[in-house]
Amino acid sequence: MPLIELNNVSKVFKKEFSRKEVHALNALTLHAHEGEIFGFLGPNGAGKSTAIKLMMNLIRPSTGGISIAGRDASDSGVRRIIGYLPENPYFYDHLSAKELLHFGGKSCNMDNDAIETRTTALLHELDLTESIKRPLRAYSKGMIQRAGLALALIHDPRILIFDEPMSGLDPMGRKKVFNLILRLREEGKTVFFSSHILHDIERLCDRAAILINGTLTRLLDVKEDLPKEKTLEDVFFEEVEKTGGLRE
Amino acid sequence: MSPKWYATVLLFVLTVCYALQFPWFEAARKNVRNVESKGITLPPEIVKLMSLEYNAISADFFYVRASQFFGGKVLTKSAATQDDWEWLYRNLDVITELDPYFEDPYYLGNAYLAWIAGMPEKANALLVKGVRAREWDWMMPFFVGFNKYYFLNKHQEGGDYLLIASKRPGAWKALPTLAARLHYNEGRTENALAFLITFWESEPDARIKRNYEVRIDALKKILSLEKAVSRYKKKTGRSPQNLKVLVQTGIIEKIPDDPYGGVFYVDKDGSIKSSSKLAFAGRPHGKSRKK
Amino acid sequence: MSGIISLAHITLKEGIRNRALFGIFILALLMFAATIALVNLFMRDIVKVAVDLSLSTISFAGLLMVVFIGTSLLAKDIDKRTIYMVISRPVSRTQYVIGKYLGLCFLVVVAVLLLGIVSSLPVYISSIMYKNPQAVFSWKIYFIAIVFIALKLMLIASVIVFFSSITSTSFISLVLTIAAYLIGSTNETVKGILDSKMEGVEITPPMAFIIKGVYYVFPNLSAFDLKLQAAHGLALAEGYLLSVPLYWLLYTGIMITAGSLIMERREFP
Repeated sequence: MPLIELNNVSKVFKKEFSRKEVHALNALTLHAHEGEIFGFLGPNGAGKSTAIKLMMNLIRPSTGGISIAGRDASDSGVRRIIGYLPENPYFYDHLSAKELLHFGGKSCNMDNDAIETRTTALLHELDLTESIKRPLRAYSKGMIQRAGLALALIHDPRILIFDEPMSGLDPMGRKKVFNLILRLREEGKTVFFSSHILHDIERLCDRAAILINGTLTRLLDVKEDLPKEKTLEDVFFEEVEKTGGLRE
Repeated sequence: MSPKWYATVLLFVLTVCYALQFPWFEAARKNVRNVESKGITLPPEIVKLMSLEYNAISADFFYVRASQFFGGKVLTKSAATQDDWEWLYRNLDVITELDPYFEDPYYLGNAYLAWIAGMPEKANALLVKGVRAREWDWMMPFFVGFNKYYFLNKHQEGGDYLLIASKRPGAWKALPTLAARLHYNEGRTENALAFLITFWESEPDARIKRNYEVRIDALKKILSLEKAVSRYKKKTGRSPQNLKVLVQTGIIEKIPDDPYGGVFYVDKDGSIKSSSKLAFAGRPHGKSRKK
Repeated sequence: MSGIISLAHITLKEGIRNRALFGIFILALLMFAATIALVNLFMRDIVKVAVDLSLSTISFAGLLMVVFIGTSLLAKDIDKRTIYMVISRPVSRTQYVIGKYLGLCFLVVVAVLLLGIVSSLPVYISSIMYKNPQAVFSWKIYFIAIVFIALKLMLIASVIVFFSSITSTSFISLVLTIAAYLIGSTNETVKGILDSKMEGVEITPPMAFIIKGVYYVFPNLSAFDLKLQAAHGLALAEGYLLSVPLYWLLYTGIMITAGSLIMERREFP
């Protein structure tokens, strides 16, 4: 049974007081299996973030269903096994990283010792030990991203869902995240992330889905399906041309 | 059974319970709400202030305004007009509506309205609110009783109020006796003096104390003159024509000065009066002391 | 459950560390100091004046805190997208609402406790400044009055929770809450005028209906105002001490439950 299932999912956004509708996703069907690293790529506005937010029950599908580990996404308990990193994380201004992670752990029913141990380890791994007591509003963009990762990992979830995890990071930061994802795969975790840095997807992912204008146009096994001469980039631009260019 | 369902049922149950508890709630509120006001139509600004939770400190604010204004006038010995007194009365009326338990407006009102403005009925109109609200306070009915006796010549009613006062905690032990005296209309000036000395003793405000001192001085002098007139009557069998006669016959050394700036004289009925009518010049008297 | 408690915990922390709170406390301290000075303007009933000013200060400072910091903790959570860090945890929307409200309540209790203790000072000083035999004051009723202020503030907090679940802008939530406060402070008086049928006051049937409606729909905040009772030591019937908290419980319950239901359906794109 796939760990993450999106079945025939559509999402239509309707602006208040207006007839205009935005079809963010059309009949998306997608499965991710346990232990794999799944990449999600597409141009800006393709619907990647929308799909991820549907998985996190931040928004509800207009049609279709989403289940995670056999449970419907609207079940709040299922998020016990998910670690989420949004595209731009925002935290309460006056908390410290330590307090943030403590909250993250407590909300997942972890006991204090476990939280303490994992906090120290994670902050060390993500180079945040110096700033442990400082309030989050004093953090730089890169530090915020890393704090967000720590929050996603504190409860040792089976599934990681990252929305553009490399955005805004400098080369050192990107290398860290890259290695982190590899480490997670070694631990047997399932990682689902979206990105438009094709190079990363090519190197990290087992499988990848290309989303254009809200529709899944290609699902490929990165190792097998890519012919020797073509890169993922070539495949991607092929798909874009096929759909006749991007919508406004 | 989704949690949403539970929540909807809970909301329904809570709303029903909320509707049902109102009779109990409103009954409890009625009991606690202040002494019901007489339903005076108040100016709209006052109702607005009353309506927020800050009505108690509005009372304080108005009170300070009133006492500062009148304190100033007394100090500079400048005349207060009839309009001023009406203004004071209306203010104190509002203040005691906002907070009928508040002690100060009753004291201020009595001191100025009864004693200086010559408006004892208005003073009493305020004080009776205090009698009703401040059930533990014996001075409220005491003031009403005194004013009725002294200014309004209503001895019976005055005595009745003194009896009410005597039943409240801490009341002056002599009240029942005084009430009895009022019913028999004896020794008016002595009674008045006894009252005045009680007022003077318990008054903390120095300005108002001075007012009482002046009055006590005047009454003591009147009392001494009354006693002199009695001695003259005993001696000669008739009333003296004027006060000079008392000096001439050696009953008193000299005619005492009226602290209010007037001149004492013997009235046709034999009682001692003063040309000042026991008020400083330039102040309206309204209804002065009656016989 | 631990999700609710830990959320309440960080909400409390975030509230306490808000700079505005510091300013509000300074304001309250100044008002207490002013109380000690102002009582000198009065003759006899100075304990009453000190009690008036002290309780009004607690109420006013508490109101500022609940309204400004409350909307910051709730509606701004959605405005500034900080809500994501909470609802991406295994915390349901209902647990979110309850946790936030609980945090706001903790904030109120801590603030009122602190202000209440400090407020005793002007009252105590005024009671020894002038020994008025006619003054009837009771510390017990004074502290009950403070408890009722806390209840009132927590009720207003529940109204903020409700409004924050409907609107997207923290400013609208702020304005609606202030309106609800003003209406709640006056609706009992206005209904009283309706009920007492005062002379010269004419009320048409549609107006009477509106007045009654407003009285039942908006909270009756005057029920929580015990300043006169505290100032003059007036006894409170036991029934009152049960009836008003019950009213509080039911009204707050309705606000929180309705807020939860609305939040369950809300989307955060």
